[in-house]
Formats: sequence, C-alpha cells, structure tokens
Amino acid sequence: MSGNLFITAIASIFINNVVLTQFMGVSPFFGASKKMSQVKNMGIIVILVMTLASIIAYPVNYYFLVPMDLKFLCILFFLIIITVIVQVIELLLKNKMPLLYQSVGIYLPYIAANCAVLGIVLQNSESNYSFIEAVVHAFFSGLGFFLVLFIMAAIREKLDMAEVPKAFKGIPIAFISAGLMAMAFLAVDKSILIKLFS
Amino acid sequence: MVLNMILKSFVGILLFTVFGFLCALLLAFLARLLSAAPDEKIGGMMKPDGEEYGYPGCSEYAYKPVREDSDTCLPHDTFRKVAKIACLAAGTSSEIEYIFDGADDCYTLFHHFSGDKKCKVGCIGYGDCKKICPMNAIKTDSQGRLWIDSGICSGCGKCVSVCPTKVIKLVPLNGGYFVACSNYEEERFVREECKWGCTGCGICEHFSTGAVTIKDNLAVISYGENSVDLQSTASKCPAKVIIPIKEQKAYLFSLKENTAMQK
Repeated sequence: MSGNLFITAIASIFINNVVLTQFMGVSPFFGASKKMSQVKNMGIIVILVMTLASIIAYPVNYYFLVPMDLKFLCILFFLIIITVIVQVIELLLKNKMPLLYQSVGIYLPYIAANCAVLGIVLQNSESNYSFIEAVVHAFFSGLGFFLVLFIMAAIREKLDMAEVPKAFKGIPIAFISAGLMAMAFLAVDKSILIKLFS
Repeated sequence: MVLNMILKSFVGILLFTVFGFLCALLLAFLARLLSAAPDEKIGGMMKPDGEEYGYPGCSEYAYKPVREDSDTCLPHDTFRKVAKIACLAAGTSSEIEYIFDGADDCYTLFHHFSGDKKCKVGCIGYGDCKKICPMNAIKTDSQGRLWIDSGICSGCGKCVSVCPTKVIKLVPLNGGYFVACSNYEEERFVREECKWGCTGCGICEHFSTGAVTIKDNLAVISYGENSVDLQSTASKCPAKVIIPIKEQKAYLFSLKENTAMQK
C-alpha cells in the first residue's frame, strides 16, 4: 500500500508531470515564470488549491454523483468547487492576512480558471483512486508543477542575459527551452519504477 | 427509455442549479462575515518590501501612495531614480591583474578571483548590465568605460540585480552628483590599482559642509531633502570621481580632453 503511494507520488511528479507530459496549466507556466522570486508564491498556491479541491471533490463524486448516476455533470460540479475554493481563499487572505495577499493574491485568478487543477480532479474521479491516493496524487502533481516552474524561471533568468537571436527573444526561446525540458522528462519511465518498488 | 433519460438529465440540471445557488449563498455569507476589517488597519499593516518595483500588481502599486502618503505615482522628476555605475575604471583605464581568455560575461569572470582587474570591488566591464538593460541606456565610451545615460534610464533596477560586484546603485535623478568609485581600501592600495579611484583624502568632506562624508576611505553623498549644490566640491576632487548625474556624457568628454591635455 505504502509502496503504491510512493509510486503514485513519484509518478505524478516526474512521469505524468502536469505541464511537461500532460500539457495542462501552460499559461501560468509561462506567465508566472519570469522571476525566481515570484515562483515560490505561485507554487504554494497551486499546491494548496489542488489538494483542497481533490479533498472536497472526492466525497462529492463518490457519495453524490456516482449514486445518482450524474457522472456526466462532473466537470460542471468540479468547476464550481474549484472556483468556490479559490474565492474563499482570496476572501480569507484579503481580509485576515493582507501581507500574504499582497504577495500571493495576484496568482489566485490564474488558478480559478486553471485547467491543471480541474484536470487533476477529473483524473482522480476517473482512475478509481482511494481517498488517500487521490490526495497524494493531487499534492505531488502540484509539487511537480512547482518544480517545473522553478526550473523554468531559473532558465529564463539566465536567458535574459544570454545572447539570443533577435527573432527568438522573450517567449519563443522560452517555448524552445520548455520543449527541451519535456524531452528530458520523457526519459523517466514508469515500468522501471514499478519493478523497483513493488 | 427516452423519457427516462430526459427525466434524469432534468433532475441533474436541477440539482446542479441548487448546488450552484448554495455555493453562491456560502460565498456571499463569507464575504459579509469577513469584510469587517477597517481600511485604516489594513493600510497600517502594509509595508513596502525592499525591491523598488516589487508589487504584485498595478492595483497594489497604485494603492501605495493612498495608503502611505508616499510618492510612487507622481509624474514629475523629483523622486525619480536612475541607475549609476559607481566606478569609472572599466576598460583601458584600470590595471589588469591577469589575462582572462574565456566567456565574455561578468558573471563568469567574477568567479575567477573576482575579476581580472586589480581592483576587486569595481566594474568588471564585460557588460552584463548592457545585455539585460531593456531601455538600451548603458553605453560604452571610446575608452571602453561603461556609463548609464540618465535621460534614457527608467530606474527599473535590472542591472542592479545582475551586477556581480554590486557596483551599480540607484540614485535620485535630481540628487546632483554621485561618487563614481566603490573602493573602500586605503590610499596606497587604491593608487596601485586604479587611476580613477577615490582615495578618501577628505577634501570633499572639508568643502561640502556635511553633504559628503568619508566612510571607509570612500566619499559618500547623502541625498537629503535640502540638497546642496556640489559643483564647487566636485571641481576640487583630485581624483575627479564626483560626477554630475544628469550630464555624465558631457562630463566624460571634458574629462577626456583634460587628460589628453595633461599628457
């Protein structure tokens, strides 16, 4: 059981990485990776919202949607859940912790319409995970997003100083480096991991 | 069968509507519950962080003057800051310690014994700041010295963060003069290392009635509210390192002519 959880965790960071393998959440990936100092806040918010959303969506899915045979409405329900979570977090931060809101608040609208969060929640409902597995999957997917965002910001800070051809400056060279990163992440294979740990 | 399916979707849509309505009620209730904090208190808790432009968005940047009575959004030049390289020694005018034959950037050179110049605190001169500058305000003169044009510089501070020796500083545009040397060593070492070094002789301190002080063998100009005109002080400096902020280009040209005449 614990080995299974470990495989889920590692797989959701490296093998089924949210950005580089499944191509979800690409717009915050390029929008928020300009500076190293911004990345930390964005990553924390993504991890928080993903974990909370899958915690709340799990009982809604298994004790409401599945018995009522309403599985075809799950996208709408999950979207509402995610939006409500983001709104509640924003309200809490804005009024109780304004200092934290000052640094984190700008990224909350990014998350409300983020396909990465919705995608993770949908995967949880489709692949018959248990509750703990779903939470672990969501948390480590967020961590994988954070990792990739961190690497990308480091690369882009160095790219600012490098001699890039004029046509490639800015976003194009960022796309190219993201593609190279995705190829590097393809090297990790799930079958090896399963053989090692189970 | 068809009727059953239609009924099922109808129930689903009804339930979805109820669910959405409940969520909206929850949000409205929470918003009413939480927004009791008074505005003055929030304003008191806001503190600007160290970075000059480090705000999460336009609204925070715009709220700042309202909350703190500060001057971030005023259009005039009174409080505008520009970046200045506090060193004139890059290029040909500084003494070389060893010849470096590698990548052409300051960052690499800084990690080989803090640069190839004898002076380890000054400008390395390979132009990392020039590459990163979004306004193209950093220029190289005929002697290979880097200088920043105050008319173009927007004060974004990118060059400050990228400089490995931390020799670039933000100074107020209307501050008058800045000290173009960062060497805090004693006079004999400065004379060995560089032609344009501040030796800490104290002449400027004597003439400026308090606006310039010597700290760690280096002249430091304090940009206070009542600024003093430092023109006479600058002309007294034997090393010619007190330089006007606005007219640096004209000053550099005159300096070159002077040295040519001396030779």
